[in-house]
Amino acid sequence: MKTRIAELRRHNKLSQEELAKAVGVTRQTITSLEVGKYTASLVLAYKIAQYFSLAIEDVFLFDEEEKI
Amino acid sequence: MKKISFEQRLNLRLYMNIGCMIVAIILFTFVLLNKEFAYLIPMYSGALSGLFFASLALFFRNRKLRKNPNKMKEKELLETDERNIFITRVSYTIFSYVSIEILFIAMLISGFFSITIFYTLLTLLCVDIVFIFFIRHMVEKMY
Repeated sequence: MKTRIAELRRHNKLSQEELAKAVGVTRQTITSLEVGKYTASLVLAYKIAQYFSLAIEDVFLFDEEEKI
Repeated sequence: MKKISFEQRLNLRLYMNIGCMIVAIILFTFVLLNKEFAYLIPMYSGALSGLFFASLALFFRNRKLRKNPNKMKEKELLETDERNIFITRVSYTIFSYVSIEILFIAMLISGFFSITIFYTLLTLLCVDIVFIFFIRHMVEKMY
């Protein structure tokens, strides 16, 4: 799944490590989310969206044709 | 299963490490004292000393973690990270299917050569399936 995490992180001048610490995951998870290798759970998606004060759909770009 | 904190989980692991060391010592003494097991001493001594030293190493690692709150938090994060849990579950599922399939195919092939090996592998397959479902049940409850 495509996300805007990298873009939002750069905009807020945050490192992957800092974001990972804030949402309670490892830096590798943030990397995987940014490159679209891993799809976040609803809880993690909510935490990340909440951290950037945005709605989930503003951070995670859902593609209708994407496999679940 | 009641949700326990990582500190409590670490304490539980420390007790389990001590338990494993005690079991290894008791079994090793039993094997050494019982002359009926003389032909099995090399095998048992290897397995039991392995259990003892692995438990000892894990005991020291867990105790070191227990004393350092920062390291403990890092370890907790690694164990509770949702991607790591996902990878663990996928690996476990793959391992389950592969081990069951290999044993099943080996069992079918061995049937052409020896009935003893056939039944041995059949027993192993049954034990493997029981363990796989038991551990899966435990993992599901833990996370």
